[in-house]
Amino acid sequence: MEHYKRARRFGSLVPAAMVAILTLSVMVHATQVITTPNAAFVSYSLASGANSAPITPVANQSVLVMGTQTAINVDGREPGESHVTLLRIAGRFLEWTGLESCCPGAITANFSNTPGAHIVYLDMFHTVDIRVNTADTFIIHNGSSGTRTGNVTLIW
Amino acid sequence: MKPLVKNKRNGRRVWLGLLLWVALAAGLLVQAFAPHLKIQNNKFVIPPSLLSGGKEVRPDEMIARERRMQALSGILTLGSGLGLAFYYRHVLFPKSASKGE
Repeated sequence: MEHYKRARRFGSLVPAAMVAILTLSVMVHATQVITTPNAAFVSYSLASGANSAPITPVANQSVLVMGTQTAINVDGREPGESHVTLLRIAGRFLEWTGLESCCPGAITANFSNTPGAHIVYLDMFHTVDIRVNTADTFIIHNGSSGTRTGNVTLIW
Repeated sequence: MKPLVKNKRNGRRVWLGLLLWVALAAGLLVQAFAPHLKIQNNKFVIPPSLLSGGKEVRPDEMIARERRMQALSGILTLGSGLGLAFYYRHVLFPKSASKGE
């Protein structure tokens, strides 16, 4: 009789423990997702002349777009880093102000909805850039002779 | 008359239990079908496969969707988990429950 009672108690505690573990794991994940700020990290690896998929930033809000090229060339002059603060007026144009990659790091500021309009360079040789794709989207374009890799972070 | 009232109560209890289990299952399902964006250095990582495809990428919508689904999943799972703990309190804590009665 005692064994039966113990087995029954064990049988009721196992599902309870499983429910508790599942609930906790869901809550931990949900909390992490909810508390993470509005920041997206996008990696790219583009062949020569290739474009990334169009990226749509959030509308009517300033978006910090910062990018870096990570590949190191033979002479070590391939990487770069730059950023712009970008505004999308939905259906009309993209507007931006920022700093080109080294060297020299000149100011870049404009507004456009013309496909191909340059926004900011990501590499030192100024061959890989973020450019306007449509009035609502931008792309990363690799204008160099080889494959280039890097990443772009959007914060809004 | 008394057995009828008791039957009604039991019926309600069974439905409540079923509802709690369904809510838990729904919470887990929502969790399973969430986009599951990776988080690295306090940033959402957009899968590189999306960027190499030709389709438009909307990070703000992806993140908002992930947040909505995680919040819904969290509310359903936590609510039903606590509800189930209360529902089965007599089974889980037999001594303390009998003291209270």
